[in-house]
Amino acid sequence: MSRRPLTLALIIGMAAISAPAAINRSIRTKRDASAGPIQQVCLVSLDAQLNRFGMKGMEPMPKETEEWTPKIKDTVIQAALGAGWKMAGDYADLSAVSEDARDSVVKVKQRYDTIAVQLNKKPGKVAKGRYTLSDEVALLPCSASADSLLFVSASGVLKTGAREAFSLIVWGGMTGALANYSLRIAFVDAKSGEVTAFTRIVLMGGGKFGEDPAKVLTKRLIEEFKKTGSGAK
Amino acid sequence: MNQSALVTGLVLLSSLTAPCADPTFHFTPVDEKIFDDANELDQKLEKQGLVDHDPTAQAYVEYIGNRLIGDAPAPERVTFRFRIVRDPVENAFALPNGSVYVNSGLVDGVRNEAQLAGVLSHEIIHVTKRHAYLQFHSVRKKMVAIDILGAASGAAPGIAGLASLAAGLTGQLLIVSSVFGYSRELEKEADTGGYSLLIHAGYSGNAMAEALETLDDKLEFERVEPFWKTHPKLQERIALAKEMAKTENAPNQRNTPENSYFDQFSSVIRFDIQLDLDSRRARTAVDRAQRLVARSPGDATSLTLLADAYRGLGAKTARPEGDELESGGKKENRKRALKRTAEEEQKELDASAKGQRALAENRSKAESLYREAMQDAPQLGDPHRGIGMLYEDESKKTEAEAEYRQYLNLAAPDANDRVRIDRRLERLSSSPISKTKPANTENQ
Repeated sequence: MSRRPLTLALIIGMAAISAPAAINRSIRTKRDASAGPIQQVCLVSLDAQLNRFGMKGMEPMPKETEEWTPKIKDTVIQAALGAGWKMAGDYADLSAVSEDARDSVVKVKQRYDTIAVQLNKKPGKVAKGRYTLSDEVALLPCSASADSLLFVSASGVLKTGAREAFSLIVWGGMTGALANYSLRIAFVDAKSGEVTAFTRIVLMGGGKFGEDPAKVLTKRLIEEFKKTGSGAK
Repeated sequence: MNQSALVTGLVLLSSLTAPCADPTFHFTPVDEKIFDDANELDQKLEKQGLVDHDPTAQAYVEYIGNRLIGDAPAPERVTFRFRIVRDPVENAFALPNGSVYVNSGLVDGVRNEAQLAGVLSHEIIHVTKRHAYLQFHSVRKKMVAIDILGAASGAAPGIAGLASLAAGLTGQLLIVSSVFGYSRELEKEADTGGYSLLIHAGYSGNAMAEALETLDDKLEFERVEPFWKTHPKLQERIALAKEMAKTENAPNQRNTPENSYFDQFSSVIRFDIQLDLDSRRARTAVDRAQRLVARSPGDATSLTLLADAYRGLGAKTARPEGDELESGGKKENRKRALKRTAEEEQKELDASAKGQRALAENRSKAESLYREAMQDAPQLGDPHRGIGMLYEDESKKTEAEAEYRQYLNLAAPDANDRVRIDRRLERLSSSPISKTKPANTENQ
């Protein structure tokens, strides 16, 4: 037996072991039960980025990201509707909204970006009411009808075949999944501006050997949204 | 070779080549991808609402950019577009497709057209000399080396961590290079080539050094230092710019008065001050608003912005003081500031005598500025909103309510913060009566 088919068989075998199915884990922190149940939400921002992890390091996938972004948005909206909420507004794409609305979203987003690093690092502090965007959120046109404002950030990393093979040989199978996706959603009270909940979902797997990540994600999000919006901790 | 001769050589060389593209450059498939990424980034900025659409400001920045380019043909696959990004950090960046972005913080930071031209000319050279592509090729090669090094060193987590961090940086290389700066050599080439463009467009060569000096004024602890302050060392760049200005300068320099510059960019500057306040940059907001007020002392909108900025300072001094100015103290303060939320920072400052003094001083300044704005423009609602917030912060419930009501009377029916003020009034009316001392009626 020549070395090449043997290597190939080894790679396929190890890949199957390393990414048997979608594995997901999530964290959810929540302020308290006093905020009451969520009925309407407003999508204020959605940042998505898909990257390819190949032999020359990580590279952005602009075209795929362009296709992926509306899918992530649909997933979030479907999950919100699935949780029994109504959409009070959607500012994920500001290229076609009024100047006033654009100004308000940019200002509120600026506030969010200022706390985002700390929020991502220590989401547990949400429970203690550590993070707030102030009542400036009232400038958003959807703030009048929404109970909660959503700030969504999604990222995905897809390993190339060559990278996977390289990792398998070098690291001996400890390679992680062929693809992984991460979704972070901050829930901000539409009246006070306080961050009331934060959800992070990580999906590992997918690709050829796993379940459809979009389906897994939607299902998982609906569960998370129901728990977040029920008023129960 | 002495420095002067070297500078002369660099400027002469740049004047021969800039802004024409490098004729030896040919697109590879990787470059095609970088080009696509640049177009993608353009769209992303637009979708996120970050591109300023004020027609006066847009026309002005286009005018300055086109003046610098002159009649030189654009390189292959470059269409020059000059835009303003709503970002309070002083920065500018260019994408390889010819999109040149200048942050609103930088528009606000420099003083006149020539200084902004100094910044734009630097960015134009990054495009014409294909720096994004060159940097990408160079770093990709290094990344492969790091990757292999990481693998070869076995499972050492430190090295593996380093490799994956570096790999992550490569992925965002286009953004990292464009926004946070290129290698020292490429930045130097952009400075010398940019200087040549600047003086050939009739701007004073001194403007480049002036712009760099203006941007050296550190009022805030930035999470990520913009390239101006790092690549290469800013002081070296200022020295080089001054040296170039001594060597060769525009014979008939354009007059670029500060007033007309501010008039053209007034909407950008006002919005940028608000962004400063939304991003914990109250010191910068005070500094910028002071300049607005100094230019037109009787302008009630500018006075209100300055008052808002002083109110936003809270218990912070208007400029760095004490250990904030010392090297070690600076580092420590930056670390602490970035770890804390704005509320936690204020709480900590407020606990010290120094903080309380600053708070009292800032509130007093804010109140008198709001009063001045009310006198200058009795029909303007904004000062009433601001002073209402100030009184609310001071737990002066009755006074706050009165000012909020006055604001609602004066503000336009479709003013976008009516809901906010209505909610504040609702909250105040349901809260217990304030037990604090009554409002200072001296200025009312």
